[in-house]
Amino acid sequence: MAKGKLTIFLGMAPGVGKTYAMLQTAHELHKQGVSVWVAYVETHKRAETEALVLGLPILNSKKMMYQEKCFYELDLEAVLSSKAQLVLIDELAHPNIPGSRHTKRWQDVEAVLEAGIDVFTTLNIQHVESRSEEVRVLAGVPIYETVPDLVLENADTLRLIDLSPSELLQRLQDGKVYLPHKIQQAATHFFKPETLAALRELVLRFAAEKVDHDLQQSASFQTKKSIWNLNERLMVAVSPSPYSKILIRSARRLAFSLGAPWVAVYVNQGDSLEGEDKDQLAKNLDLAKNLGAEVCMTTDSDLMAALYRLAQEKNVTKIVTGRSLYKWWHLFIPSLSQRFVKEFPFLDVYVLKTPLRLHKSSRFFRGLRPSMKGGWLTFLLIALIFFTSLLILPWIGYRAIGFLFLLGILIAGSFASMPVIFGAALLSALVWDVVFIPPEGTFTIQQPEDIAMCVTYFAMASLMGLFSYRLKSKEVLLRQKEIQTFLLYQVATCFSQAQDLSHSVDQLNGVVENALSINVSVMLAREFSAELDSNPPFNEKECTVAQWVFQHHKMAGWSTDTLPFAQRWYLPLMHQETCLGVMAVEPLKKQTWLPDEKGVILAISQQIPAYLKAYEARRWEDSEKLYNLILNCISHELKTPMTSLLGNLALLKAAYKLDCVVEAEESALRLQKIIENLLEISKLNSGHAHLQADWVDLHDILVACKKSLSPVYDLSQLGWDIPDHFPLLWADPILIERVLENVLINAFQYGKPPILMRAFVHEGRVMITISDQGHGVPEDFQETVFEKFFRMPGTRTGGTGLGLAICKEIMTLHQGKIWMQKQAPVGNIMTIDLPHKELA
Amino acid sequence: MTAKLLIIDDEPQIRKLLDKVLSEAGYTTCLTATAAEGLTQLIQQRPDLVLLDLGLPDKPGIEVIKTIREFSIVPVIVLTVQDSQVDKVMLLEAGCDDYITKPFGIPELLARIKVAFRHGYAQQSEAAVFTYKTLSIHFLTREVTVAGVPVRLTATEYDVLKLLAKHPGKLVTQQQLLKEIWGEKSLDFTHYLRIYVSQLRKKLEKSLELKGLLITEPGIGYRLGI
Repeated sequence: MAKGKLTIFLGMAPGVGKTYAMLQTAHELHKQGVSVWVAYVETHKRAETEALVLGLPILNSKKMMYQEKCFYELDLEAVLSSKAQLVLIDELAHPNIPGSRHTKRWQDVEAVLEAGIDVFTTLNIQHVESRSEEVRVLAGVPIYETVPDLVLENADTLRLIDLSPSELLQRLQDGKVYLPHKIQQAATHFFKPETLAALRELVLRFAAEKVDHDLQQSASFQTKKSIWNLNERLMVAVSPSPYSKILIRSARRLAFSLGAPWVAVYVNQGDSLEGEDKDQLAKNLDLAKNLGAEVCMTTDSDLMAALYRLAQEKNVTKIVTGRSLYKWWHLFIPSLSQRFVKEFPFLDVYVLKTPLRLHKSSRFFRGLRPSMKGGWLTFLLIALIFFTSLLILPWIGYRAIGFLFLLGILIAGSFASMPVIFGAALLSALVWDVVFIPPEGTFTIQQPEDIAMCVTYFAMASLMGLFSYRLKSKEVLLRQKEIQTFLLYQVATCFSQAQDLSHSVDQLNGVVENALSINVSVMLAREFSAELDSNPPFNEKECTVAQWVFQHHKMAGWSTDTLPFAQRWYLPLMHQETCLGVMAVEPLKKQTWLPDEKGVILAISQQIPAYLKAYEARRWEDSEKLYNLILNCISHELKTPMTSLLGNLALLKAAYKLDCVVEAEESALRLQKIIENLLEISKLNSGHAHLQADWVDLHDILVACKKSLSPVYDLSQLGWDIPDHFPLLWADPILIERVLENVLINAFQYGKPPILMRAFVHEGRVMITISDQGHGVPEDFQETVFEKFFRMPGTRTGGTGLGLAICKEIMTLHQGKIWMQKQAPVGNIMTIDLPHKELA
Repeated sequence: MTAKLLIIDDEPQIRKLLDKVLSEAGYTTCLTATAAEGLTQLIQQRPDLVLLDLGLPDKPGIEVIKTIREFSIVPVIVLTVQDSQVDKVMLLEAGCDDYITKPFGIPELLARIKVAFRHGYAQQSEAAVFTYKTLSIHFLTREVTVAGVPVRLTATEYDVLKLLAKHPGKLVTQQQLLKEIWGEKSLDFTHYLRIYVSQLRKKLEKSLELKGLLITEPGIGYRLGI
């Protein structure tokens, strides 16, 4: 189904008349006969707007209760099931109340568009993700709800609703603009002429950019080039700091104006993130993803090396970085942006301005706090060494004490962070100098070799501390990687060793419970098809989410954007195009996940379907073995007495030539035929029959058939017409012989000779027709003759009623067909239709 | 001297029936019910042919054939209830000479026994000329005539016919034919065989006398219908 078209009515501020314009346009279309429905429009009780709404058909909104208050929300199900061509959904940036399918209204709109319904919606510029920060700075109001730029980018039409600031202010004074109660104080900031002018510029510029972008797209489409400028690719590094957000938005704007794809990278340098930092990082990465970035995560203790490697892997041409505030140490240690310029000569480096206030606070709170790690412990260690040294000074001399301090720094390197180690090295050097190196109690050092020693000590302590710190962080990284690899290995073992699914899932839980603090359960497809499950695994709400995931083949639930109220994360278990079931992931503690952790769970969910298939195959194999055993046993038990019976009857007949013996033999032969056919059809129906296909010459088959038919039927009545260069058939020789034999028997028994067999190739199919000159089968029965135990009314007994049913099963197994037609002027014509396979 | 047949079958009714039928046809019979007993009798009595039932209680039929072939070239005909072509090919490969599917007709059984006596396992006809009705094959000159008129055969057609004529009446599996004529690597090229057999049939079965000379056992192999 074609996606619906999205039209966004964009304005600079509330009150410019977006909703009004939207309704007017809708009215025009309504007059033209388009089926327009109002799905959700906020009239704010304005008379003119309400009057406009009244003229249009309205889909009732859904009444939902949340925290004992009543809310009216868009009824997504009603919209999706309506036959509307176009629906109006006001306020794209609106957040849905918890308990809805999606967290945000723009996700609802996406779903409506997916269903092939066009949508009209409204939006203010401050809610555009990439501009919200600018508006916040401009107007001084915090913006909570944003819409990803991708939604606007993919919009088919952007209608700019423009109004001059003075007109808007006039409308405001006239009380024509409704403002929600909670932002009324903020509104005084917002509705100032300067602010409005700035907002107006912003929205006009945004619209211009979009127009430019669309133009480029259509131009490149005409010349059949890729939409994206493939020569350019942007990269931005993401950190757990809130400042990163600004960088990400800027990178996105740059990428958009260049028409280039962009990559957001997080380099894990071995620090395990907890709490707030982890949340912030997850938010930042989400933001980047929402803004259309390709999100990459990698682990490396060396940030520069990791970025360098990624830049080369991804063919990055430009890197975006924030400007570091200039500090005195940048004289000696280059800042990040300086290093980019120096070390990435093949890249354009964009250094963006940094908002001062935010930058400072982030440095102070986020930059410093994690680096104080191990500070107290290091200080205690240095103090301990200091006091010990005071005690043992008379015996070992002041020089040896330097080594004691060095030992301390080395130990500190294994747990403390870098600044702490430097601090400790400096502190211990000072203490050593002041307290121990003569003259004691002063900073000055008497002997030149002591000066050398003290300076060397400091350098050595710093370096060793640095190295042991690096070593430690490398080790941490390695361990993290190893844990992940081992985890996946363990998951694989759980499934390959266990005999049944529930056992495997138990084992899997044993593994993931500790590693990821989650509990996994698997629901199979058959649990969804069963109408009444007497013992549902979860409550009703959770089951609905699982059902949704199973039907839509998309993940949903906790930690996703779809149905986020659920307590678990539901992932579909896809095997090629079919959904084998749903994996439910229940978090055992409150936690946020980074993309790579989610990746592990995703990897698990992708492994499971293969194992499910393997189980199924194993079960099928077992049942086939059992089936064959039983079938062989039965056929042995039936055929052995038949042999004895027939053999003895033959002897009796030879000796006595009695009528009753002849009749007994005939009956026995018929019984034997019935047994054979019953065994055959049961084998074919069991699903355990396999084709042993080979190249088959139709002549060979005909010869074999004639041989088995010759004792009973008059073969001089059988004619055949097979072309000289008739191709070989790709078929199971024994089964195809059975088909031909049964069809011929049928023709001899119920038709009238002469019987003619013809073979030819027609449109890539091999056709074999057998016609007789009998009365023919009435059209009503032409299909039923292939049913088991069907017998034409009024025909004489003698057959088993299985012959043609067997033929049909065999032909299905060959991906062929068999059917019966009346022949003009008399008789029946039976057609066997096989796929024609060319000789390789 | 009458030929001696060893019957190994665990079903008493079948044993009795075979005993009656075969004695009447003029053979001496020796009846055994298990594989162990059968193998002992095979050594002591030295029969001229073995009729072996596949469903023996003490040993799978295919193992019995392999054991027999360890030390004896006596012709073996297998009695089986299975229709599967794979099983039959396996039996033939293991060294049995022919098989007959239960329930079988008496005339068919007697005919098979006769054919088996004629060729025997691993025993080739050593004659320089093979003749059947109007057909003669001169192995030395690679010449084939029907009623005295030479028939032009390609080298491969001749090879196929020769292989079948060297074991007259015996079922030759398609694997054997492919291996002998086209080599080990060509075991999947059954379509070659179909094409050559159909050409041979066209060339030889023009003569009414020779109708039905080349018999196909679908999925298993070919034999000369003599």
